[in-house]
Amino acid sequence: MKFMEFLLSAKTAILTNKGRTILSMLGIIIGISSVIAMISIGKGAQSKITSNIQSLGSNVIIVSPGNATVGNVRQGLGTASTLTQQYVDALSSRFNTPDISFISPSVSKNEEIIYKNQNAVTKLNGVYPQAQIVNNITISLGSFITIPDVSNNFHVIVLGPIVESELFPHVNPIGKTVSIGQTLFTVIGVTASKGTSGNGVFNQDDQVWIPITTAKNTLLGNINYSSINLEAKNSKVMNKATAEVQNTLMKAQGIKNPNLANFTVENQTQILSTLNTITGTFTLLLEGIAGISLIVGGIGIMNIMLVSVTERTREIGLRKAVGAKGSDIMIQFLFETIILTLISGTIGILFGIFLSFIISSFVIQIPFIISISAIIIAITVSASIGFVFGLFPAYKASKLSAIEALRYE
Amino acid sequence: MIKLEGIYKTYGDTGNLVTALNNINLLINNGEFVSIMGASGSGKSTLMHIIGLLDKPSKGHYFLNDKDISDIKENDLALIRNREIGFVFQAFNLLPRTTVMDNVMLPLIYRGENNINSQNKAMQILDNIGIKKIANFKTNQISGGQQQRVAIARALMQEPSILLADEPTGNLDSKASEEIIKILQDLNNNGHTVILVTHEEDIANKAKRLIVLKDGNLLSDNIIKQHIL
Repeated sequence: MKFMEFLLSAKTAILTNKGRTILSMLGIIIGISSVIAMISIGKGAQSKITSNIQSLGSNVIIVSPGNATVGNVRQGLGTASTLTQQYVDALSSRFNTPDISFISPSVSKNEEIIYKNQNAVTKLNGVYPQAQIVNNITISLGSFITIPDVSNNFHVIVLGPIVESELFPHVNPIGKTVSIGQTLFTVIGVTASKGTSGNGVFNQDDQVWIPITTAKNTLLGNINYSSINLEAKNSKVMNKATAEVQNTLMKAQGIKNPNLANFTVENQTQILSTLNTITGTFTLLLEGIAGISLIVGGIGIMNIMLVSVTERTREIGLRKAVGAKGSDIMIQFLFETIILTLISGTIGILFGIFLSFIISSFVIQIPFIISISAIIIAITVSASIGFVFGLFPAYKASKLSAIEALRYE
Repeated sequence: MIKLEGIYKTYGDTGNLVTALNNINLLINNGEFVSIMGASGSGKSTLMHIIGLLDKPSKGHYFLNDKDISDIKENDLALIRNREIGFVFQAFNLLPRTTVMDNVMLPLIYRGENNINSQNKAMQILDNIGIKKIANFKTNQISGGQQQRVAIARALMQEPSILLADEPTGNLDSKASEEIIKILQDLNNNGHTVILVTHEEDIANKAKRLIVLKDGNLLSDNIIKQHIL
């Protein structure tokens, strides 16, 4: 019974000053919607990174060049091209790396590829045939680079699906000739999409492959390797295989202290956990900022409720005169604040979902993920804000003396 | 029945003491119609607040229906106010932007008795005092006289022992004032105990008994002439 009265009274109070109510709700709306959007974007980014890393292939160990040291100053990671043929030979020995099944050294560089009046700038990889296995590449049209392609220095090229759609929007690309600089290549295959989205280094669909010999002899010169990908025999020996690779390379470089290494060995799990830590920290930071706006919003609500208590002093006095206890008044105002924050929270959730949809679809292109737990947290948080920040105004209202409240002008 | 024994009310601390009520002894029986009159500062408002259980005496005893309630906790006072005292205020004190019906139902909500029976009862009371047709109007859509009738209806909903009217005509024109006084007289004729607090002599004289306060003292307590047979 009393509950219905509280609901009615809250409705009247909220609807009486619509403009003021909406302004006071704004803080919570912004806070909740940014928390929802941040959690959604964080999850989307994490899921994108995970799927991109997994699309590199299973049980993959990646060796990348280390830091160049120029005049005793260590440069950024990957600045040196230190992955020499000597390293590849050492890793190829079954004696050194018994738990490795395949080794796939590659060279890469960004190049412009031209077909008639279409062009695409993409990542060009010079690879051995085993890259298909190690990097988990599926062919949708034609075939991948073969052993004869490598040994005969053939000018053949395999396109990733994004490059294919840019250069050959309407025609079958197999057998067509594309040019990279002055060199002509025949398209022999197109890879299947790995389902990764967006642009940049992590997109596995935006690249092309040519025989490594052709890349070195014709296009890039006799450069060192850009990376050496290896596949462990199975997931159980991942750590052991990673250690074998690390030790083999240190021996090849002739060092005992791993800090001096001019290469980096990482497996998929390590890369994933590193990246997840980074995105996790970043998301937490954004959520923290959004959380602060929730506190500010709560203070705004408290402020407006204090004004409301003062404005409704006579009403409080009357209610007490006809038999309301202090606790009845307290519950009434607390209830009002909680309803206010719950409405704000709901609007915030809807707006947050809309915001994350916009951001994930049009701004950074990550999967659109809305977690139920985030919504439950948002509702709980907004109700708690109503409770915490409603407590003081409600207490103040309940302590008003009936006589003074009735006399109040 | 109201019995006040040696009621004092003082404000302030020992150095600067103001006595609002000075040894008030008073007996009001059920079914009486009493006016309490006095200039401002006479202590009539303080007396009304004490009778209405909105305030506590500094000294003395207050018996309501033979029960000493001088020293009772605030929550229990709220309960007694809800059951025994019906208030009518000068400024009407209705809930704004709320319907007449909801205003009249308010006291019963704090009793937890908001049901169809009490709604019928409210309708009956509104009908009795002639404002049934505005039951669903908001309180800011009706006239001052109508607002005061709503306030009386709200008090009657409580079926109180005492109806306390504090300057009920103070904000009304003479025609509306007469109507309100007429309602109070009718209620008294039907057996309600009515206490009317006012500073206007002609209003005060509509009651059957007149109590005059001056500077916190009981100056006079007489049956009004036209009621002496």
